Amino acid sequence: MKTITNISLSITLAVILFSGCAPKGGAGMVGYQSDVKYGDAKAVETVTADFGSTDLQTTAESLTQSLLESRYIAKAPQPPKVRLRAVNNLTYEHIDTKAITDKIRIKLLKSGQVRFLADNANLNQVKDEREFTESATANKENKAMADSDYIITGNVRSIKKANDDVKDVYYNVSLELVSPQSGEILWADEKEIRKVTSKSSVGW
Amino acid sequence: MSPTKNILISLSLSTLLVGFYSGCTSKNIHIIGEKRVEITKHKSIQEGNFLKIMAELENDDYDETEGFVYQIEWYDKNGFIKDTTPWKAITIHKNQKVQIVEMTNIPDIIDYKIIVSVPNK
Repeated sequence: MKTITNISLSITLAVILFSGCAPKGGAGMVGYQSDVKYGDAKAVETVTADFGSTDLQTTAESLTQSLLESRYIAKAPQPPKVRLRAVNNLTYEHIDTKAITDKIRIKLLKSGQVRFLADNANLNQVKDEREFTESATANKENKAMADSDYIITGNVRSIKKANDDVKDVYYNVSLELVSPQSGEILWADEKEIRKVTSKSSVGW
Repeated sequence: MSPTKNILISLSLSTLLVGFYSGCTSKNIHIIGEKRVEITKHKSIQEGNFLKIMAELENDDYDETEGFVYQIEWYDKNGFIKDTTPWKAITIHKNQKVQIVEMTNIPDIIDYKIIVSVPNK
């Protein structure tokens, strides 16, 4: 009888011990009970009025749609070669404008309507592009790399206003499709964003 | 069969047909949360390689401005979800209708679903 009791106690202890060691949550989960949780990457984010993930996503979405509808892309006999140039941040806050253009590039590449040439961060003006093309003409390999049908440039601007109760932020992201040969602006569009913050609810 | 009975049967059949067709169109719509927003009409067209949709949304809550978010899911011919738009915030004032237009940026999309999420008051 004593042996049975000892065995039962041992089993109970073992169960308690091992269940204590088992990680919370389940297979494939670490830190299940922590405060860190995964959220919807495409959810509307309104934590602050600064330029955020939602603005990045909606701007890229809207401008890509507009560009795909432009006749220079939609009616092109074959996908044109495009080079993304710098989008200037003319606001007072830090905005990673390359994140906007990278997102647009991914969307355009997925569309199959556009081919992209590698960026050249040092060349950020239409004039530079033309000079580069001309200087590379002598070398066939360089010429293939340099001959873009179009370049995409743009600006991000913001206007901020505030009084005792309300803070208003207006963002304007504009993009242009430019012919590097003629310097002609063939397509342009903008995405406007307005964010209003009640001062009582958010400290700033 | 009396004329009154005929009319009643016709009316019943018409109601059934209306119910059937409205059930068919609603497969493209999903409203999450309180039903204070109504999608009054929606349609799609093929724009080159891309599917473009238009939807008209109406604020059913006639007392207040309505702030909600919507997202479009894009489906291929096999019924697989290929892409989604980011959730987009939109405001509709009372007694107002708003038209939204979205276009997929990947080819071979043949169907869509408009998802509207209405915040709880």
